[in-house]
Amino acid sequence: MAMLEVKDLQVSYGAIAAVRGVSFDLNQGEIIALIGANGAGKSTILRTISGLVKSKSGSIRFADKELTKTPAHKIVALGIAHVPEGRHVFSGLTVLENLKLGATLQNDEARKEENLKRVFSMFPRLEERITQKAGTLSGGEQQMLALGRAIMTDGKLMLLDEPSMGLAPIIVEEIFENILRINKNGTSILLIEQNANLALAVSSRAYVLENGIITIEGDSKELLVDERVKNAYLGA
Amino acid sequence: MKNKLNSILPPVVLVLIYFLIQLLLSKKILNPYHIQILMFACVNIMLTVSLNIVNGFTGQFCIGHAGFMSLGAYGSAIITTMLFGGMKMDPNLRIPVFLLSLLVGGILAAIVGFLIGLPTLKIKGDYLAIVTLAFGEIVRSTLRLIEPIGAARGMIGIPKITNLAWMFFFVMITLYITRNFVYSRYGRASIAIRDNEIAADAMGINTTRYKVIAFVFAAFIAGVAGGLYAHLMTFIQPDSFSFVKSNELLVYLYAGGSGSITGSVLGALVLTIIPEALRFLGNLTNWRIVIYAVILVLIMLYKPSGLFGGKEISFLRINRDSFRKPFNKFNDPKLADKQNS
Repeated sequence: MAMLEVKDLQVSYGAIAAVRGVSFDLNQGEIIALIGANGAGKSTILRTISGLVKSKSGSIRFADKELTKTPAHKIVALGIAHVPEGRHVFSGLTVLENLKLGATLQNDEARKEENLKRVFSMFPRLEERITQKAGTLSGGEQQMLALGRAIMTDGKLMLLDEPSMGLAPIIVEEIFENILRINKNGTSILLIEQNANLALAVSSRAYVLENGIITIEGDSKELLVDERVKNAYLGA
Repeated sequence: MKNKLNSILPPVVLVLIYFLIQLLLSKKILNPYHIQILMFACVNIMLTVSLNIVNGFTGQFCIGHAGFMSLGAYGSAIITTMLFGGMKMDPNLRIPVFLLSLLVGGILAAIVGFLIGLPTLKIKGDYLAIVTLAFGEIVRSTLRLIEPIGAARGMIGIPKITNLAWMFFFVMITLYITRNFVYSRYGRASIAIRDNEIAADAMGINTTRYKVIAFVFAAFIAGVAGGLYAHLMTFIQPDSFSFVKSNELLVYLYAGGSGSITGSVLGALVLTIIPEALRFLGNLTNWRIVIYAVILVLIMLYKPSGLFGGKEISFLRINRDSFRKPFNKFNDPKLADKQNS
């Protein structure tokens, strides 16, 4: 059975419909990619899942719980970690404090320590900068911190919004290696990327979103050679 | 060892300053008028520090803070003056009744802060500012209409109990608990909300709850400060707590540096004293407000984030930076938040 099941989801900002009836699902342990152009509604879908935006209609079920009427902080407690677009670290707090905030809802001490160790083993650079204010980190380091903070929430599902945005290719590579590591540790991942090549390379299945509806879906390997996807998103 | 020194030193310094002031007073270098101004500065310090919790650390924008002050002032004055006979009060009862009245004033302000905060803190930014402005004016206009407490004429005959020692004592307490608040789990959540509300939400922080906590805490301190003010002035009227007062507090806060307790203390102290200190100008006395404004502009020009923007002196700071230790401290089950219940 699917871990996350989105059915006929519709979201509007005022009169503007951003998501117009989207359905997809995600199984335990999978990496699913949502690809599409700017304004296709990708970020809106993630925000609706994590409760930051309210849906107009449709349902989102996660581990047999309905999320559309649940407040954001309770959704985190259910095990969904959202890494928002553009990194969003707490710039006035130190690296360590940012990570601590990720564990806001974690009461198991040992687990918290364990997760902290995991974060530092993935991103040794964060350990070096533990006392530094997050606002003074480079873009890549901030993205690492945002990921690390999501690991600290100990979620079963991680929502990643454009993790490659504005980063140097070498940093992107490091980030994505670690996303795969996070996945291997048992966390399912819903990934949004404008870099469709990259998204299709790491994911098992993918959905192509256009103007708020899913137009193409399938195995990532097949989509990589799909003519429509190639023309529109892969620039081949 | 250093930590112990750090916690003992500030009260000792404050007591020394107190005795120094008494000495200067007896040598006629300072006069009661100076002391009066210093006490006003202390009231302003308490108000600015509490405003800083909401505006500086939680990133909300409250411009009706004088409303909480007036609730505290009236609340405590009603207790001492109307219930316990004011000037004719039994001398043995003065201090306990005074302290009780301050507590009542603070709690009254906190309750109203809670009632206002619950619905309004879901509103953000400029819109919240307008709501808090309206709140301040509602309190003021309501007080103007209540006849038993003097309506627009104000309330007279409040016993003068506040003195410099009490003021120092309450400033000290305010600084101590505010510091502990800011460096606690609550403070960290507040700063997270200030830095990025969306990310704070996504981390499982109940943002509305922490905003209301910050609001109620700030309202309580402002209420106590209002009570001290009432028993210093011996006369209060609704119009003393208008938007002009809230505005002054905002100036102290931002000139001192928002997000810094040290800054609030300095801002309130310096900017309360400057207009009075400029009275020596003789013929130019009429210009003192202009000079005051120019000083303000200069501060903001050369220190855009305020005198102490984001920085703290060591007494008002708890080290956030030591390596693993704070992480374990953070896990203190007593502090653990039962949000996921």
